Amino acid sequence: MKTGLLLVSHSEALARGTRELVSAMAREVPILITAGDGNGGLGTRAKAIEQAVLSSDLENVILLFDLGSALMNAEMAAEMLTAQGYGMTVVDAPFVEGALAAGMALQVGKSPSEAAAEAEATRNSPKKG
Amino acid sequence: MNAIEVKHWFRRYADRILEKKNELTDLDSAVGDGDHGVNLARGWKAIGNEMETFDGGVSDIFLLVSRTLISKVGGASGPLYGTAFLRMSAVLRGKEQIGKDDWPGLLKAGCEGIGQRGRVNGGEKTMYDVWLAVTEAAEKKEPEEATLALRLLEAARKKAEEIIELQATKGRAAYLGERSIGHRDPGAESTVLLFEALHDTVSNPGGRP
Repeated sequence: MKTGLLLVSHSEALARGTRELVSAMAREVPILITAGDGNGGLGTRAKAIEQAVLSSDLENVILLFDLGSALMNAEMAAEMLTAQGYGMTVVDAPFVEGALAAGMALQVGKSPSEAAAEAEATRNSPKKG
Repeated sequence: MNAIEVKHWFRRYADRILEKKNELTDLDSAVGDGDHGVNLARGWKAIGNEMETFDGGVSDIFLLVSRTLISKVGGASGPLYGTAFLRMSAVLRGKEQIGKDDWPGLLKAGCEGIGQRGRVNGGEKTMYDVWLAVTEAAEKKEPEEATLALRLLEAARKKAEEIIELQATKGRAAYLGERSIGHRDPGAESTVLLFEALHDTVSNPGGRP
């Protein structure tokens, strides 16, 4: 089962930048992005999230999102995709740190559920130690 | 309320959203990301057009509205309203029309959908507060549909006014903290318009919007 990340952000620049950061370390992990309102503005859309997964070759997707309304669109898309047989895990984590943790977990061969758990654990890892 | 009247209701609502697009966007610019009017207008413009030709039953109309909102609106309002209409569509499955006794269950299903999707319970200063007030208002039996529609509208307006003084604790407005107090909630206002359009439709049966 091919597993990858999906970064859902209001901002395409934020999604691309986060992918760049994660890909610098998790080099072999596929990372999809969905961002923007489809008209060059900020926003998230359930349909675009669904499309991103449908047009990829992933079967298992660990989804990270930036803000609250992205979560609602992410969950809506995840429900539609789950009904179509995809393995969807929506992760509640800091966007950048969570994406990096999940990406690295997949890079070193951990399971999707371990990757999701590591992403969520970043919430409790203060950067000032 | 039969399928033709339901389509009138949604056409009227589409017209109201397009009329109030800038006002809703201004409200959202004050407390959120300023996309509420534009996003809703994009979706409801498409729905208004679909209503011209769609000839499915009441449940299918609600389902079409849900699908269009989910695919075209995005933001917070797309999934929230999309879930509400999806749940209401399920309640209407197999029914020829919305009978007077169907309203409490119909609105409750929509309200619960919004509560679950938005993870709210009431008092967070969101559209859910208005949906909850309308759902509660629908529980009292009412022989006349027009009287019921007026009661729903009055409950919606009253709640939208009441929550102006609340501090938002959910959604983008929550980032404003105490400064959200005194502002109208855009989702609450667009919900009031839905019940204004319902009241207009029921008061003018058969009339084209």
